[in-house]
Amino acid sequence: MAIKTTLRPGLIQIRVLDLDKTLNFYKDILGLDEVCRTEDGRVCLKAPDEFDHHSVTLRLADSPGVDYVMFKVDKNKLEDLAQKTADFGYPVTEVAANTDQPGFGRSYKYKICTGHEFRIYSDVELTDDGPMIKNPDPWVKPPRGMNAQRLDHFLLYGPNIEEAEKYCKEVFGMFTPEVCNNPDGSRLATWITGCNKPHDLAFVEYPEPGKIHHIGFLLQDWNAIGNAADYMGKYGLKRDVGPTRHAITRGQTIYFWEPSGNRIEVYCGGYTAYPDNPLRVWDAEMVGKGLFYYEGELAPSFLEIVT
Amino acid sequence: MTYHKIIVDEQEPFLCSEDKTIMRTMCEKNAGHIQYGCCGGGCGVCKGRILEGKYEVVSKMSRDHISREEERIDIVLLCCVAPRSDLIIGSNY
Repeated sequence: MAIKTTLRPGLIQIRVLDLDKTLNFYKDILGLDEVCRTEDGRVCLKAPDEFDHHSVTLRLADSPGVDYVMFKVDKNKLEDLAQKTADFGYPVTEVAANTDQPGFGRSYKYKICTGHEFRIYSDVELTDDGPMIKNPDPWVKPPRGMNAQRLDHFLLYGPNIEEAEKYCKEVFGMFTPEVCNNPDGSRLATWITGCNKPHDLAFVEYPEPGKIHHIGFLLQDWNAIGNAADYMGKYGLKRDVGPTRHAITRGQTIYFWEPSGNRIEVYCGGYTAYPDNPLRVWDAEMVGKGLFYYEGELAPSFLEIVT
Repeated sequence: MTYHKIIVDEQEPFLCSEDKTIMRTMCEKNAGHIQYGCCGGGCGVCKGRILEGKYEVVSKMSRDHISREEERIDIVLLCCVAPRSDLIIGSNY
């Protein structure tokens, strides 16, 4: 498929309780590189296989969680998407270039029905530290830690996810390869993508707005998942579930918590999603097997703990 | 290293050293019965109250889960505190 309109989730700003300790995790264990710091003390990071300026920003705060997520969109469609977002019912505010995220061009910010702040942008500087493009080697600097390749997706918790799904489809031009429905037919969870990945983002219905379940980073393969598990053991990171495999998305995975209590997923594999494929549907009573195929049942902590 | 005796909800005591959090020790020794999650002060699952004894908050607790008032009356996240004396802890705060 041609990737059009919305290219990918391009940045997430995360709140952390202990900046130094948590930054050490993102750099030395997850394998991201520090790009720069802002005047107000935030730290900007990128994964080694990303071309854009940065993809993760850490902000010291009194509680962990997500400040906002940013989606990179086609450069000819930014204004159109801002207008369509306003028409959909979410008032947008312009954020001038280089006023919040270093290296990022003009963006629009708005809050969606689930209580999450979204931002869209199209221009961002390329990093000086990106993958090679001339006779490229697989990596520039030797892989470090878990060797996260790039930001992959995030799972957001909040109310009225059916409207959020509608927004992503109608305005972002995304589609849903897979959903999970309650017995009455309402959505319990939805997986949404704008490309061939099984998900760029996902939502779970939840009464409290603005929550995040996890941030997903791509690893190369199943061996890398095992390597990541070794790092969790060595450095005492609290594991939630895995190593295991999802039936939903079919990805291979571990969930664990970084030092400030934000849940991280290291993820690889998954099926190829096409917008013309039939929708995969899970019944709520089967979601345990859907999420954790090897175990065949839910870990209670998995659905209940969010930040 | 100094170890202290910890009693949670009148159950069997266990020892916890001053350089470890109570929750980390409970996980390692399979002691106590309080549920836990992130072990990083973020998720709020391991909330309890220090009923007797001295302790130190060794890492930050999320304000979403421990208010200033709760902190003042010794309600804590057990993944963020280490003992400085023998402790009696209650989960029914």
